Amino acid sequence: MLKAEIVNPFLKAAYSFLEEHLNMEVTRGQLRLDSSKCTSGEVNVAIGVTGDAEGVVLYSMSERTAKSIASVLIGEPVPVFDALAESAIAEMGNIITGRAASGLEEEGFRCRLSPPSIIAGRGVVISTLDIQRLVIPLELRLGYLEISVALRYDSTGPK
Amino acid sequence: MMPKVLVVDDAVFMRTKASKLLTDEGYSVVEASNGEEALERYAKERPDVVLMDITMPGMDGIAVLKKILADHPEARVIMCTALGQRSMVLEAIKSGAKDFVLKPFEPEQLLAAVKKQIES
Repeated sequence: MLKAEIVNPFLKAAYSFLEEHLNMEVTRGQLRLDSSKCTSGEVNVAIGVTGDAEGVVLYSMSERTAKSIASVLIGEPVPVFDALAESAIAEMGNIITGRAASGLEEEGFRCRLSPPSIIAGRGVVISTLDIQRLVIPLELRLGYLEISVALRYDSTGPK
Repeated sequence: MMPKVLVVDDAVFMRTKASKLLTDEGYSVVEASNGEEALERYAKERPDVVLMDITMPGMDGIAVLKKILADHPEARVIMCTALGQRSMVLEAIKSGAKDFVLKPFEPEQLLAAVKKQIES
């Protein structure tokens, strides 16, 4: 079971980033726990987590949504999902995960993050093996963004 | 002459964003995407201020900061950092960084930090 102290920092981090920097309201869908493989969106940011909680955090969206978000972050239209747009989307993942990590630290989970990777393509199958994914569906004006938090940790609580 | 700022970040998005902000304010901007490049550019361009990311692959921002200061003790370096890197920020300040700004930057904060160093 994923505990609230793991889930809440991610929700808080995602809301604060999206509302402050994309300047837009966020509607959250129903959270769910998933243990099967998932078919990714067209653009995914993956950030590894190690430390008191370990696993991966994925940000998944369509290319259209990725281009719209990148365009707001860059401040210019993004007709093609190029290296600059990739970097902007990766930075979004970095910032949300970084903020969540500082929330996790307040709960007693000290974590380190890997640099972001971008996985792009249609119908990519991603498996987090035996680590369950908490899926946070977010509806933005610019499209749909799904955050998957696949972390495991010592269930006896923070060290 | 326009004050010159060296922007060091491995993420092209962050460099582009910072450069655009600074150029629009009339600064001249030089970019570097890693530590080695930053040292080279510093020696060649002698910028008035350096704006540098803490987390970079290879040589991280703190290592670069120490190297720049060892060769150029007068250097004015501002570190950029994401939330949750408190210990790194403290180490950077102890190592001689003049200031730090939080990423993602608020344009006014970034410009104010740079201006403060130029005027100091």
